[in-house]
Amino acid sequence: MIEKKLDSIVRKKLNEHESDVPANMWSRIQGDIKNKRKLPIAPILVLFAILSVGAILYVNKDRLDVQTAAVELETGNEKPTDTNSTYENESTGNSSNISTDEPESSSKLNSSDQNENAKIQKQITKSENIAKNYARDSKDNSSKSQSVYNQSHNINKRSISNIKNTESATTKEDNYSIHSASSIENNSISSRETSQKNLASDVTSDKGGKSKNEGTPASAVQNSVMSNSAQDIHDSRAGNNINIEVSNSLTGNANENSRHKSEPILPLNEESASTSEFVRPLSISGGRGLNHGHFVYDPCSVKGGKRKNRLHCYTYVEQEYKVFADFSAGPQYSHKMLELRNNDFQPVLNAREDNESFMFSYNANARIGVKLANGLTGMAGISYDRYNERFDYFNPNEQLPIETIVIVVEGMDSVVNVSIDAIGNHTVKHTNTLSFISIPLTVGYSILGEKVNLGIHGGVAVNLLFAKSGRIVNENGLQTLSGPVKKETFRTNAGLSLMGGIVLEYKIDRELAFFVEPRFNYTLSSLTSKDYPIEQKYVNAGLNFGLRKTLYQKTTHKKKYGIN
Amino acid sequence: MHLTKNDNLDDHQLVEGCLRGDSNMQKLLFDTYCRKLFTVCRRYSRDDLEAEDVMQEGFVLVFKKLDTYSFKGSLYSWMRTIMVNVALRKLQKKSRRDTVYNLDEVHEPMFEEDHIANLSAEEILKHVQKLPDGYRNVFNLYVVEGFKHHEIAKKLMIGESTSRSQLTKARRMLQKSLVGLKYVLI
Repeated sequence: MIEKKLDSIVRKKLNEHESDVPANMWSRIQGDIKNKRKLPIAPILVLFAILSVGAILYVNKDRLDVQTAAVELETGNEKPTDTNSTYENESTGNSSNISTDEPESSSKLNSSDQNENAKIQKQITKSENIAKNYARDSKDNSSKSQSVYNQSHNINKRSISNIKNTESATTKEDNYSIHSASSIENNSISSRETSQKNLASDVTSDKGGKSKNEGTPASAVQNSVMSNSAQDIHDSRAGNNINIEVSNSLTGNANENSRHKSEPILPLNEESASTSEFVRPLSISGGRGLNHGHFVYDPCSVKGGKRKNRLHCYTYVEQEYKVFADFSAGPQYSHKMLELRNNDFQPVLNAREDNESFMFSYNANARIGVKLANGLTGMAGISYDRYNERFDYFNPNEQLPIETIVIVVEGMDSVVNVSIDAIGNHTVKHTNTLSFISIPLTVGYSILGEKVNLGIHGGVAVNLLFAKSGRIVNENGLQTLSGPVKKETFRTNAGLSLMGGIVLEYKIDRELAFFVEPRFNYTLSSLTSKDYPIEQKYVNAGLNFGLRKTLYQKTTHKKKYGIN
Repeated sequence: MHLTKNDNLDDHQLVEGCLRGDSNMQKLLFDTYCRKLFTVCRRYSRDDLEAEDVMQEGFVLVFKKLDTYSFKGSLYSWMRTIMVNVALRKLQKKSRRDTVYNLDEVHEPMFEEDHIANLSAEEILKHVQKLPDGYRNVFNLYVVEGFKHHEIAKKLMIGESTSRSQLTKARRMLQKSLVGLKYVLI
């Protein structure tokens, strides 16, 4: 009764009471509202995706530029091919060309030709810039490439000057025809720029009027162009001609004046052929990426055993797919997200947020993957994740019932049980652990470079095993994660999680590569059981370091190139 | 536009204004309820400085969670619940540095109704603040907020019996403090 009166008085007075608020309170709150920011998970993920796409586009940029330029060149030369018999004849490779002397050819140079030439020259300039960029990007092979480039450049210049000096020196017995000095010059320039840009796609080698089309790397064309003076004339005299078609017959080098001896060109060996920027095959129509294969040196001779006819041949081995295995491990940050399912359990949520904090996490992966020639990658394997959390519990008002036995002796013995409550603080410090074994299943795309590959992949991780240990606070207070408490709190399986990463791979040799992989993982479903009032999910971001080894590589020997 | 408490905006308008990010509305919401809510914060705190921290954190949470307010109860009740939760949580953290409470069984003190009734709310509040954290929390939750013992037990994650015993002890301690009586320990 007395208690109720006291309660009533206090309740009435306190409920109606209003206290003066400090003057700066609103400014403090306002400052906090502006500074309070959620962990921007969504923006981080979006940024991650944008950066990945950006990186892919950046790495692809040069290649796309070259392809675009090549297509432009093709288009730009279609008209001349139609209107100028020189192109036509060279493209067919037949000896039906009509030799013309200069005045006749000069008369063909009308204003439209000049316009076309101007267009082509413009494209050449653009393509040359791209070629230079390529050369600059190639760190390992820049010196080799540059020297080849310079040689090609000089020889082409010389060829051009020779052509100018011997404009009228055409012979009908040769299969090549020269319509005009200007057109030849154009062609020479075309070859030059094309070889510089690695735009060559085909080498046509005519033997006895038969045409054999073979894909060629740019350097093959380049070298052919370099050696056109000697080699082409020799073949022409023997009744054979080797027409070099670049980007759908952009180029034809049939020069009477190319009789002159070119400077000896050092043949590319296997290593330089396979690593040189200029030997990269670029199939414009095929859509195959760069460096999905490599060159194998394969000496051969075109005709007879004459030394001067001997070619340095290369077979381009194209990769169809390869199987690899990798292992990686690294630290990660695990961000725990707790969300109420039942609002009555806000105190439990608060207590858990207060008591549990991130310590450290790590991940280890062992995977097997397949990489297709077009860059598509699929991976599967096994993944181990370990989250460690600090559990720091403190209850200032822990009540501990103590039973005391009191023996009272008053005439006769009697025993009295007295129970009293001891109130004190209770501190527990512990390390909680969550362990996961999962099967990651991902698909991705890789861009292959000379030494560095870049890949992005994403998919799901299917949980196999989910182990947990430690302490937890629930509505009944402090609990140890074992037996029924563990069962009531956590699921036995963590379910699916989304995962992804960017793999930056550095080739140590042809079969082994070191890689760094920024990765993320997001648990799709709550780790807690359905009846538990709080959802618990994680977002992990980590950085793995690992090694990747090629186990098997399926290749096809496709293209053969002759380089003198 | 500068709004004042006298503009007679209802809770609905205030909430919608705040949700739009209107800082004038936020200020108006604060001005409307800050004095009552500061009393709530003080009841759960040991001193006014601690109450200010609770209030600051509480209001930040109010603005953050305002989109979850469903207009089922009064806005003041909803905000008061948030303040109470923040206070309990904050005090639980701070209590870690505190001392152990010893056994403190006391006799029933004399109750002087008139004397207590004549005390101002501010005086009573000061005495409530002097109670140990555990006692004060249970006393506030039971006497002022009107929670049952099983609800308090769940909220504070203590046993129901603990809640009861702490309430009893809190009452006795508060009476002792208010009427200035001397108590005899067993």
